[in-house]
Amino acid sequence: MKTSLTTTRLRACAIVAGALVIPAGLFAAPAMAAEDATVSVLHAIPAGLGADVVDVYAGDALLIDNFTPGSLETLTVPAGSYDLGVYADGSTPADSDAVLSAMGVEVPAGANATVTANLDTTGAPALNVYVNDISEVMAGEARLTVRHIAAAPAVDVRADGNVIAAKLVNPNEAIVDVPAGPYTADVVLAGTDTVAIGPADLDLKEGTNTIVYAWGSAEAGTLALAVQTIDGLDGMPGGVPAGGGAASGSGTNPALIAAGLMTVAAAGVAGAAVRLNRSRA
Amino acid sequence: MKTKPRPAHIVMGISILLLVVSSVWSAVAGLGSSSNHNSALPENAGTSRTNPTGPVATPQSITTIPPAPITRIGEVVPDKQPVSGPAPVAVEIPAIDIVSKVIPVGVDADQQVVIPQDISQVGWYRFGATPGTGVGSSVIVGHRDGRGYGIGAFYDLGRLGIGDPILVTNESGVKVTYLVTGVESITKSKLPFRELFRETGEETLTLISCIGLYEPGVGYDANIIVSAAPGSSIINLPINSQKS
Repeated sequence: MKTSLTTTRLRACAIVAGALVIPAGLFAAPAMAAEDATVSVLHAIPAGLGADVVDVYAGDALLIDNFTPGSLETLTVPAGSYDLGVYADGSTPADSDAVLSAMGVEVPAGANATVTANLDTTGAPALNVYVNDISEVMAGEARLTVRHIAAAPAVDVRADGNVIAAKLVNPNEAIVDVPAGPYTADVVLAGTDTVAIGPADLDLKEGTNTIVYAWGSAEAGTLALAVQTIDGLDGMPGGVPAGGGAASGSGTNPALIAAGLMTVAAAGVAGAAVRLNRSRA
Repeated sequence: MKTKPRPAHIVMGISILLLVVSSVWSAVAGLGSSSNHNSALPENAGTSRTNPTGPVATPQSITTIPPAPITRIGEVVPDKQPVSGPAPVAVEIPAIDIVSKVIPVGVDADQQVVIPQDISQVGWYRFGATPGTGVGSSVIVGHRDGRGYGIGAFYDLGRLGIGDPILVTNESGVKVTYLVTGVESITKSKLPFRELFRETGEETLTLISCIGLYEPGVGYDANIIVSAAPGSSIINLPINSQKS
């Protein structure tokens, strides 16, 4: 049921300075070379604040050219340590200082991260680095990640009217696994029914992590949602119970009977394992 | 209009400026140009032949500013269009005289694949691959039997042989033909879920039912798995029927 929003996780994101280490995902995207990592970049600084067209560099190398507000780009890069910098369009690390930067971002093989250029809670430009949860979701479920990267006060995020993230503040995120399917999401001022963003229709597909960013500025009236989807996180079902026993005895494979009692016991163990998985943190 | 000649004036002005700059450089011979100077220079600086050995020797175009070649890093991951297609609505298996309605199914609270309650119907695992889309293992599950209901749609899967056709009709009315490539019984605790339910790789149709020892309250101890590959049923006609 959609109301069984069980495991909401709230956590602060790690930001910019210092040697930020992004842990490698347990389940790397299959198409990716073993030594690569996936990095997405979201331009979430509203237009008119001097960052309407920027270039993003990793060290001296150009990562994204002519990046505009509201755009999201995903790249595979060799695993390594990167100095990320956002530059005014046409400026380069050789001739200019970065408008925003994050030094020594460690991106191990298999990791999946999103870098956001956004406004902090006071409205100043900021660069955040988030690690995306690409662990498997259970069969039939989808993961919803919500990130507050707007110049706005604390908010509650609701899906079909249920609060799934309460008192979320910039730059924190909330993660919840929910049954896959369509939802109507909105963002309200924390503890109120005053809608700040939305409502928006979200189709949370099974086996995906759908990441919703609340960005922009409340004061300037530019609050908006941006959506990133990571797929391929499908969990497997636990079994196929396709018989009720009415025909038991006829058509039974004799070769399987000998092993039958033992495997029935083994099936019980497997069932317990499935339930353990379900209650993971 | 008076504004039109301006670009030419500007070029000329810049050329004059260049000469001045070149002179300055000559005066500080031996010192390299700062990158700031370099980037501000128009590109046809090379036309200034008054100082061919000066620091602005590299011919450049007037419109490009970057002082050094820029290397790029990263490979853009294209937006993936999710593989989807019309859902299957019926399956025919002539060899065992089955024509069955297909309904979409998911999983229950215990992560077990839901089998249609009406045991004459079979279920398509809607969180997996879709028949006819050319990718992945599309799974259709059906009851072997049901207590109080009798024989289920997939009771006779074990009688299928290699090459038997299976026809899946989707909601657009298109019929996709598969030919059986394998029939096997696998103890439930050893089911290769990742292979059976994979959403990538070769297109396969996978039929799953139950078989083996039945224990009341627990169920059968094995699943019967029928694998089938896309193909044409024509090549599967028995040779003797072609002769007759």
